Amino acid sequence: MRGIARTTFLMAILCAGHASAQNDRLRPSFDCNGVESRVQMTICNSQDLTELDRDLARYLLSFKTTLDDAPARALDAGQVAWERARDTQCNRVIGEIDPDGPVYRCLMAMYRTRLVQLAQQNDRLHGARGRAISGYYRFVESGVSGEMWVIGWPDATVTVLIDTLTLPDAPTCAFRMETAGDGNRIEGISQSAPECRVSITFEGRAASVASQNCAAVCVLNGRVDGVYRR
Amino acid sequence: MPIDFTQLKLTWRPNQFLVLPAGFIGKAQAHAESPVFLAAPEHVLEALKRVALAEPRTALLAEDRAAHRMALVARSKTFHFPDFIDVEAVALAPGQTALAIYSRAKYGIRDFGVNRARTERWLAALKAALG
Repeated sequence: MRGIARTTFLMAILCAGHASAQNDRLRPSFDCNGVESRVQMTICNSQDLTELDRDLARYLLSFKTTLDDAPARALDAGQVAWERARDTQCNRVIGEIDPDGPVYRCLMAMYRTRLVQLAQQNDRLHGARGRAISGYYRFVESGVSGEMWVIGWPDATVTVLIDTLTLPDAPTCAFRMETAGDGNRIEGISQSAPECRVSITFEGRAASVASQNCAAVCVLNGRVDGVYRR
Repeated sequence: MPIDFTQLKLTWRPNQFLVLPAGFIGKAQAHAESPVFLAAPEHVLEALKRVALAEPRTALLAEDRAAHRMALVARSKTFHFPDFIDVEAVALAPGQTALAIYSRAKYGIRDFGVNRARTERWLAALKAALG
């Protein structure tokens, strides 16, 4: 049984390699040739994780160019430590490495958390008036839940992603925006529906989201409005 | 508005990919030369738009039909980090068109070959569609 699983897995890797040569879609920030760890195999086999790995590398390099030598070295050392932790933690997960399997989910969580950590470091160094808005925020209220990712960039741009659910698991809204702003209040329009405007006011660990004309990014009467907390 | 390719200057960052028609006079050096398509510029641009918009998380930002130019954005899946793509269809002769395409990451210094891969993928699909 194990032999069959291993053969299937090797075939999947070979097919992935073929697809990669054809359309170059599967290429993370590292070389997938000859990878042996389950973590790296999982990343190389997943379009989602490949893109996430590149997003993280993009953020890291973008952040690093704003730093002096010593903090840049510290950032490199921190990244090496994080990669070691990623490998240890997600290699230890029992289960298949298939898309959406336990290793995949472990890596998704690790990458998202790391990106938020880096954005929070960036806030501490570059945020105006000590602004610290980057983070992962949650909202739960009377049958509705939401999550919000706020990623501040060194150039003061902020990426905001909000997803809401009607419990237990019906997606209702998917809002994405990029906006500029250095204060504790940001506002902008949806990437997919320009008439949808959202403003977010940050206070401590809370973020109050208010929207206008956002029906186009929601279904089932969903709303992105609410107080989200880190 | 879509960019004017004659005025384009590349940055030092390896997060961009530029395709120009052979002999195009501008300020930037192309990474690759555009194939020649046997169709009018408006048809080539329309066909490329169809190819591009068939990909997930890719959207048209602006279009100048008279100048045969358009601007697009393609975003990564989880965090929606954007790459911007400007395109101009350049008439070489009646029924012959080449493309200027400038694809670059908004964020980060390196793009790990994403912009090159996307541009080459789109050109290959366009070649298959138009011959």
